[in-house]
Amino acid sequence: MSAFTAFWSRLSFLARLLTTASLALLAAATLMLFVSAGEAARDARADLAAELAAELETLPAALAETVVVGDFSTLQQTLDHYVQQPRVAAVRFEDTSGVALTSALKRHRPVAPDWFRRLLVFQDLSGSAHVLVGGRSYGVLTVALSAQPDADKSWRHLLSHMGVLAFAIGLDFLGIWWALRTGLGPLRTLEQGAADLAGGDYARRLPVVGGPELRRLFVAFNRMASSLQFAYVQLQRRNAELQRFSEISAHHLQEPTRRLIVFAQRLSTRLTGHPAMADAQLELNYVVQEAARLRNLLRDIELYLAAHQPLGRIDLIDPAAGARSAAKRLSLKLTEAAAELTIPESGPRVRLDERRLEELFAILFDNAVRYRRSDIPLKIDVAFSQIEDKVRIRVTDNGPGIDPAYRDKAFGVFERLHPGPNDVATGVGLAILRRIAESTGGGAWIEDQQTPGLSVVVELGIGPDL
Amino acid sequence: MIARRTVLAAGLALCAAPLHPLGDAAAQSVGASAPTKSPGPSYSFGVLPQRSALLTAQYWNPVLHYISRRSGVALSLQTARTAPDMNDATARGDYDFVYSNTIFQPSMAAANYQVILRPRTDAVTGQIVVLESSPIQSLQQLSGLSVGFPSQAAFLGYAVPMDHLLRQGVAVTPVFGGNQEGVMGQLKAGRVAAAGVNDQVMRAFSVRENVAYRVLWESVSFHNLPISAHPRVPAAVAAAVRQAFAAMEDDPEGARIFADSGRLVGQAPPYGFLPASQSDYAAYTEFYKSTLVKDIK
Repeated sequence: MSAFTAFWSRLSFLARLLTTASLALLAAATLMLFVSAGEAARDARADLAAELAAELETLPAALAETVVVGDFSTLQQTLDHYVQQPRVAAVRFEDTSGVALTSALKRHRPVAPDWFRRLLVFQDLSGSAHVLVGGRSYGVLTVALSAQPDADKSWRHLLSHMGVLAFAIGLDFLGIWWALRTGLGPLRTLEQGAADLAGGDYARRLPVVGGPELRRLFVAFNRMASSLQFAYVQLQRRNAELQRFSEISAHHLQEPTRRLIVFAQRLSTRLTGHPAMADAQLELNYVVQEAARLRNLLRDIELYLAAHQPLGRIDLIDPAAGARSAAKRLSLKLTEAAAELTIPESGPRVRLDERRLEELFAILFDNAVRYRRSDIPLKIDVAFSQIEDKVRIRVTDNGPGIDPAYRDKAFGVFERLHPGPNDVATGVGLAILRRIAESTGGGAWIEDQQTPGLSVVVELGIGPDL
Repeated sequence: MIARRTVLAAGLALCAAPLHPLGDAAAQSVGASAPTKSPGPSYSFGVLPQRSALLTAQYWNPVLHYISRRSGVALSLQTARTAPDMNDATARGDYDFVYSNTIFQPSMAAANYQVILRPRTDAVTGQIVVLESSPIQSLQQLSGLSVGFPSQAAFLGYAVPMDHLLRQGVAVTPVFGGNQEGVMGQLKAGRVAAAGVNDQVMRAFSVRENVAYRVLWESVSFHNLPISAHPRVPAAVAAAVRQAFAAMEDDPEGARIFADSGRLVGQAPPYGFLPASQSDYAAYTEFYKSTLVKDIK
C-alpha cells in the first residue's frame, strides 16, 4: 500500500484526475453490463424452461406415428433432424423393451468461458415424457436443452458492449485531457511569468486569455507585477538618490574637514613657542585629532557606500591570490606583529573584482593584527570551501575573539567593541566586508570554534547574477 | 360430426405424458398413466392401416388393452404405414393375430390365418365414388382419368372396384394413396377424379371430414375385416381372445371403449365383433379366383 501511495503522490493532478475518472467509469459500466447480463441469463433460463415444456408437449405427438409403426430408422432420422435446433443438445427415445435411440449434435467450441456461465448461471435443462397413444406408452422421450447458445450470445453482447465502453472511456480520457490541457495550459505561462518576475524582469506582463478564472488570475498577476515594478523603480530611485547624497555628502564634508585640519595645524604652529598658549595649543591638538578622525570616518563612509559596487572587472578569480595580495600589502604590519599567516595554494574560484577581493582579506588580516593578544604570537589561517553555488572563506586567528552576544553588532557600521586609547580604527571594516559579500549574494558572520580566537566566515556567491 | 382440430387436439393430449424432468428438482404429474401389462407372453395384433398409424393406434390400443385384461392374453398392436407393408408382414406370418381382409389373397395362403371373429356391422361394399360437385355421372366418363385407390393390397378399395372397371372396359390411371383415408384425402383435394373405397370407411371419413360424395358404382356386400389368428397361436389363447372380443360390446366398459374409439374415427354403430369362421369369408376367396386384377399385392 505504501508503494502505491508513493506512486500516487508522484502523479500529476491531471494524471490523478484521468485515472480516477477512467477507473470510476470502467467500474460502473462493467457492473452495469454484468447486471444486465445477469438479467439476460435469468430471462434465458425462463425461456429455456418454457421451450423444454413446449417440446415435451409437442414432440411426442410429432413422433407418435413413427413410433406406432415401429419405424426406428425414420425415428432416428427424425431425432437427428430435431437435434439440429439451436438449443437442443440431445434427444433420446427408449421404448418399453429397452431399445434406445439417441441423437446428440457435436456443437462448435463454446464462445463464452466457463466462469461466465457459472457466474451468471446459464444452466442446461432436460426433461422426459411418455409417448402415449390410445393409453399405451410406447416409450420415454428425453430432451436435453443447452444454455450454451444463450451464454455465447450474452458473452458476445458483453464483449461488444465492453468495446463500446472502452471507446467511451478513451473518448472521456481524451476529452478530460484536452479540456484540462487547454484549460491549465495558461498556468505554465503564469509559471514562466513568475520566474521572469523573480529573475528581475519587472516589465513582464501576461496575456489575459483563457476561461474566466484564468483571466482573473492573469489580471491579478499583471497588477501585482505592476505594483512590484513601481516599488522597484521607486526603490531604485531612492537608493540612487541616497547613494548619490551619501557620496556627495562624504565628498563635500571632506573638504571642510581637510581645511579644518590644515588651519588648526597652522594655528598650532603659530602658537608654538608661546608658553602662555600651551593650553590653547593642547586644545588645538585635540581639534586636529578629531578632525583627522572625522576625515577617516568620512573616508570609510565613502568606502562603505562603494563596497557593493565593482572596482574593476568582475571575473572568476582564485581567492588564494586575493589573500596573498592583501598579505603583501600588509606585509609591514604582519612582520611587526610577527604574525604567522597560512594561505592554501588555491581555492574554488569566486566571481568578484580583484580589488574588492584583496580589500576583503586586508580587512580581516588588519583586524587580526590590530586586536591580537600580546602574550602569544599571532597565527592567522585561511581556508576555502564550496557549498553548491557559494564559496566560503574562513579566516581564523588566535586572538581574544568576540563574545557571542556582540558578534552580529561587530558587523554594524562604526561599531568598535573594544576601542583602545590609540585605536584609530573607525569600526567599519567588518561592515564593509559584509557589504562586499552581500553584493555577491552571500554574507558574512562569526563562527564558533574550538580554540580561543576568532573565526570569520565570508560567503561569496559564484552565480552569474551579479 | 367431430371437427378435425378437436380430434387432433385429443390425439396430442393422448400422445404426450410428461415425466419429471431429469436433473430438475420439481417433479411434474404424469398426464396419462401408463397401462399395466397383462401377465404372460405378449401376442402381436396386426391391424391393416386403413387410416394413419396414429389414428389406428388411438382406436385400437384402448380396445386391445381391454381385451388383454379380460382375456388374460397380452395383446400388442402392430401396424404399418401402408397396406403393402402390412401385407408383406402378414404374408410372412409376422402377426399372431391380424385384423385384415387381405389374408384371403392367394399370396397369403401360406400364412394360413384362420378367421375367429367378424365385425357386428353390416357387410361392406366396395365403391367407386366422386365428389358431390363432380361433373362425372358414369363410370365410362372415368376412361383415361386418374382414379385413386388405397393400395394394391386393398380388397374393397382396389381389387373389387378395379375388377369391375376392367370388366366394363374402362381404362383408368390408378393413383395409390397409401391407405383408405389417404386416397379419400386425395379425392377431397381434387387430385383424383374418383376413388375406390370401402363404403364403411368412406362414410366415417365423410362424417368426420365433412366431405359430400356421390357413389358411381357399388359392389356386392362382403363382410368387413375379420380378426384372424395364426396357426401357431394356442387354441386356448385364440379362444380366450375370441370370447373377450365377442363379449366386449355387451359389457358397459367395453361398449364405452368402442363408442369412444368409434367417435374418434367417425365410425357409426354397431360396434364390436361376433364369432366367425373361414367360411363366412368364402366370397373373398371366390373373388380372388376369378378377378381380372393381376397386380394385387
